Amino acid sequence: MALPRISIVTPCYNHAQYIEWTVRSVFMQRYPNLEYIFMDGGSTDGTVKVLEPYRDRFAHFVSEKDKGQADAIHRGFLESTGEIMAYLNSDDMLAPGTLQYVAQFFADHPDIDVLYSHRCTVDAQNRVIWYWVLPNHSNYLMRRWDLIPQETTFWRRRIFEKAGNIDPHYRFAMDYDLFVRFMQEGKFARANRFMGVFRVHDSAKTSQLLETVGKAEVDQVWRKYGLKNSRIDPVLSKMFFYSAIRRGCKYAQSNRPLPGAFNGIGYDYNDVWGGLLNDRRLPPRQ
Amino acid sequence: MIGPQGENLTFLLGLPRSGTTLLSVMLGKHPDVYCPPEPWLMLAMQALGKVSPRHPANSQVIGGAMREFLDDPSMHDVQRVAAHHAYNVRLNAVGRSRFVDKTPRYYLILPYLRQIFPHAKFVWLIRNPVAVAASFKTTWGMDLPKLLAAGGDNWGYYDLVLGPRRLLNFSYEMHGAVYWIRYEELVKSPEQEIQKLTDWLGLPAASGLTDFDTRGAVARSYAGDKKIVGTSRPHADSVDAWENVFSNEELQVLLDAIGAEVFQQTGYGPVLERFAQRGVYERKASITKAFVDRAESLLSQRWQDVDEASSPPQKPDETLEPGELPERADIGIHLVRRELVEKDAELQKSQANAIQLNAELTSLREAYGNLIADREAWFKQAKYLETVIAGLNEPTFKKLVERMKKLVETWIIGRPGLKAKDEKPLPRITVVTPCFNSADTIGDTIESVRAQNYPDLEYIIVDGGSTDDTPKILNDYLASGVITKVISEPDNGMYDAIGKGFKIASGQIFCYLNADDLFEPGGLRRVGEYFRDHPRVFVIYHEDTVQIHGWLFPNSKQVHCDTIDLMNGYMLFQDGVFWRRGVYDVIGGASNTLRFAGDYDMWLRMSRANTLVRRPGHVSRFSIRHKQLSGDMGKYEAERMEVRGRFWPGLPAVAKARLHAKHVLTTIKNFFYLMRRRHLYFPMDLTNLPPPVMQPPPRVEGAPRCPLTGEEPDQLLFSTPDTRYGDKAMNYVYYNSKSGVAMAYPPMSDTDLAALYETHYSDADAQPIEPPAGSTSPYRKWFGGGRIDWLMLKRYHLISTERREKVSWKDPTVNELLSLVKRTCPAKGKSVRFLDVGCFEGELLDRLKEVTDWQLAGLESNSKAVTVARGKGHDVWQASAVDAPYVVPQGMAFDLIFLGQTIEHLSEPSKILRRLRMLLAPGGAIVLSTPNLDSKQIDLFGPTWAHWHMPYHRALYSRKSIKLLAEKSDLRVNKLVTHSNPYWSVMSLWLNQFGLAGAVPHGQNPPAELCVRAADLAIYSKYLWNWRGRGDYLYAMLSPRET
Repeated sequence: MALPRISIVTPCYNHAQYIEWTVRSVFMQRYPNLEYIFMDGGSTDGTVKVLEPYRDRFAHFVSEKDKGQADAIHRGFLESTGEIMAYLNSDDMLAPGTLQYVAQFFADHPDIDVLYSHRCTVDAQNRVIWYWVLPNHSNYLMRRWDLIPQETTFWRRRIFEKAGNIDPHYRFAMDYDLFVRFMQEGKFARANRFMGVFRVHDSAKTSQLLETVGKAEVDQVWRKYGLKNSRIDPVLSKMFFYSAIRRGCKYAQSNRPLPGAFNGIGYDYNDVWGGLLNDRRLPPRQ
Repeated sequence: MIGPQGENLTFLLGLPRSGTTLLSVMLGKHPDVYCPPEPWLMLAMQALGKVSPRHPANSQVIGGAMREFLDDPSMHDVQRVAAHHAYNVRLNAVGRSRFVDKTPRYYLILPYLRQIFPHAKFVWLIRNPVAVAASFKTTWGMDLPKLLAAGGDNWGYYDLVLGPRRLLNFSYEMHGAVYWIRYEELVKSPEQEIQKLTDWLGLPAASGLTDFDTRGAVARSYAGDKKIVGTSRPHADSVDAWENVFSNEELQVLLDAIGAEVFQQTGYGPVLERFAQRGVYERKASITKAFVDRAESLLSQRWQDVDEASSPPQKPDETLEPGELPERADIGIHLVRRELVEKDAELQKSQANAIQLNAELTSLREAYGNLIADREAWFKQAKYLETVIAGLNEPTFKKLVERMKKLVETWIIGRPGLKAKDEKPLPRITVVTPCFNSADTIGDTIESVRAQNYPDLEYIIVDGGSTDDTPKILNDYLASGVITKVISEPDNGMYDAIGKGFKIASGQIFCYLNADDLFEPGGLRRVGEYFRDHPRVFVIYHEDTVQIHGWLFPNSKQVHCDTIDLMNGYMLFQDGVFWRRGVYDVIGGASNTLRFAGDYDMWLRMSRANTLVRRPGHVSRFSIRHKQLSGDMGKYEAERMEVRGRFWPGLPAVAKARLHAKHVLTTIKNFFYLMRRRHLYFPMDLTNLPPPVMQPPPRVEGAPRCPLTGEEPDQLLFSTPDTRYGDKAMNYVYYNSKSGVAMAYPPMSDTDLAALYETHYSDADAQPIEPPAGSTSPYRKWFGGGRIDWLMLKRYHLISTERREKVSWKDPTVNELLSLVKRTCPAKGKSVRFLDVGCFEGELLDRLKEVTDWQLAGLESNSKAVTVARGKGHDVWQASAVDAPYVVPQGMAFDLIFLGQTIEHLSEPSKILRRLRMLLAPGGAIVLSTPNLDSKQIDLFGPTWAHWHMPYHRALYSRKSIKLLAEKSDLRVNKLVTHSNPYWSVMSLWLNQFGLAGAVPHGQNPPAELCVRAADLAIYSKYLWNWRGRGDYLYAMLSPRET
């Protein structure tokens, strides 16, 4: 089977602390047909220096001032050629074996356009702190609330071309906006595994902007696509969110691990990778 | 001047109490504008000729005459001319050119105004109707909600219900030619609003309109708002004043009466949101409609009354006026009768109607009551949901993170039996060590206590006045904090010393450890956890291990015991007994007169009231040396009999009977306990003692750890030197019963292990080493304690010579591998990418090359072996298994990765498997082979089983632990089969002949009689054990767990 090309775009600005984990988690997938595009917004904290050993592995490496994260992703996607696409923020990571699985999944399910999975969350020291275990995909739920874990989401080029590129005007909800458009055009599926790792840390954009820009932009998306919310919806939303967390807790307590994470919390996510993230070596090119 | 069609005339419309006076005062400041307070002129004009019924000149005649004199068009002409003239008279008087007629209740006659003055302009001052109602209440004391709810004829119906609707409709009919000015905006920014209004009216610009002197016309006038008199500037104080005026119920009435659509159409939608926040919601449209209909009917009634009062009476044709007599009596009677009949029918109809209406009223009342109750419930629910939402909306993300962490922790920790990190704290354990001149051994004892790493430990040493180095050693440890307290004074024997120690103890769990005994690694933690989880258990005892001449054995099995057993001479291992403080206090402490059997005395007294609970596993280690106190068995026995003789006769008869009854139960329990199979229990072979003296392993910090779960093992299996190459270093084999893994101790660094491999594995000339003549060795001629099936097979020769000769002695790896993977990776027909991890010199690759058309590759860390394998033409990378993801080129993947007899050599197997997993192609699998800890042959050969092979094998796995290993490595066991091979059986048999003192390397020719028995074993295995999963080694196929 000829493996499809997978394009991954990483926008980055001053994340030297985490960027190596991110980049290694992509390269150590050992996926043969990978197109990794790195869009650095002119970092000043040595990000580029950290990535020096990996520099020749990127299909496209840019380090120049940009107009923000969404703009970087937008331009990155314009450069991409892969059949399957995704973007991975510079503090998130992929789980081991993800790209192989995604390629296989899209080959087996020609009707599915977008694939995402549960979310595993780590802190700044790579320790796992909680999980979101999501129910099967439902357009109703996922359109209303920004709960699709972006770092685990992969899609086909055909839906990307139908629904359009990421909107560079957003600062926060660009993924939500994109996924709502995807949901209007195509079919989603949720994989019962962990495909990516989300990081919560003090300087994360999610923590800084959630309350201010985030809410406003989510409102904006609602208005833009005519998503009406009833009076009960805020409550439903919280219930849905907490049920994902609660199921994550059940997962942490259970003895049945899913691919991509152990049970329990507090362990180093690098252990899931068999310690491959903290090394600086890469396999030789083919 | 006003034109005849109403040019230069402006009507300022609005509701009473909506601030029209304010606007009129401001407009009146304009030099061109005359704006008297409320002329009411047009209302009077419209009512021309309609006078009160009490008019002395007969109102009906006046009305009728007027109507007869002037028909409708000419009436309107008269009224227009009169009004026109009236306005102009006033304008002339004050010398202005524009007239603004501000009369709020003009909303009653809007079409009329338009008809009379088609060119007049209309300005509507809009104000929030609820604020209007509030102003009614606060200024005029008119409680409109109450009046509206009561339903009587009142101004609420006209000014609140009809007024805004009529004005709205009029605006719509005029297609926007009515200028809307909003009260709230007017008071907020009066200059701009007035400017806009004057522009619209076409007035020249003027300034100072917003500063006014209100002591003029308004104060003197009959009409107009007197509230304004005290102010000289517009202000916004009363915009939101309504919120404090009305209760929720009153607001509901107002909302129902006015109608939500009126709010929305007049631009007061936000007011509805304020309502919703207070719990007042829009209800059905029919409720509002009822109010409007009621208002319309009231209003039309009023108009009708006015018209009736001013209309000429209509003569009925054949009805009888009271007091008027008919001209003919018969006609009169006829008429009266007819009227009576009619009246009767009418009365009956009314009565029926009344009954029906009464019934309707009752049911409506009931429905109303229900609705009220529902409403209460909904309000409650809404309020609850509001608090829920308010609670959920945490202000910052950080708080949300903390909250989620807390939730996660409470959900994880709050449930019993789950992976709780810090649930209940472990109880404090007090260990007392009595010593006297034990400088040789006390160091080891204290070190073993230190190595426990128990979080809450009190360690008391009672020294009986030693004269050797003991006090110095104790002081060193006291300074480093290992020992809590040292008591150093002469004492009256060991049990006196123990008593002194416990007297100052502060722990909840007590035990004592003699100066030459040790704790097994992790022992105290297991004891603490057991006492923590079992609050009703007071005394527990364990088996211990015995250390002698550097060897370490599990001591003999302990059974369940009670007082009667102790009376009959059952011995507990003192170092494995732990009890709660309360028990010790109740029995009154250790006896200070006994010198030898003080422990027996304590157990006996403790057992009277408490069940002694037997716990599996090893906690402590008992050392046999020469000068030991317990070695003096004669004196011990004598003292034991003395204790016994004192204890039993003192018991009451009832207690004796109870203890006997309990003993029956214990005996039954023991019967079943002894029936159970004892897997992996290798007691000392007493016939072969004493063993040769060996060096015990060096003391290593930390406990042995299970390579899968990281737990401390709970059981010692046996100790062994290197039985393949004759190295004399001792290795302890521990077993973790939870994960089913046996592991080697002490741990060995990778470099040491690599050096050992270099020394021995490349040594082709290694010879079997027989034990020295005359020496004995433990575990020699071990055959599983005479298992009945094996004895039968040995005794009755069931295997024929021909069958025996058919047994294959060849290396079976290729066949076993191919048979395992034949479904997924057939040998021919498909090109399978195969990686042999640890391929050594490529023997397996050679064999596979012959029988398959796979693409073969290998991985080996030994550089010499790599050279050899490459010489044979194989693709081999030189690296250890850990580095496999770094040496195999990016993008290269394998369908089959084989670890032949490899994982038992690794200290972190799941890490290796996780890394190798990344080399798998989709649909690929990892196949591993390893000795089987469930093997039947372990029962037969015990510690001389050839696969133990310490220290090279770091861990041995059972079927259960292979599943656990797969789970830890994100894999799943697809297939698991076991095999046996006569080659390994003959190794075991040969080693068994030598005992653990000897050594048997590979590649030798074993004695012929052993080969015969090995062949027999191979046949038995095939038919009896392999298929039950109890073959000598296992093959497992692991594949990624896909969902």
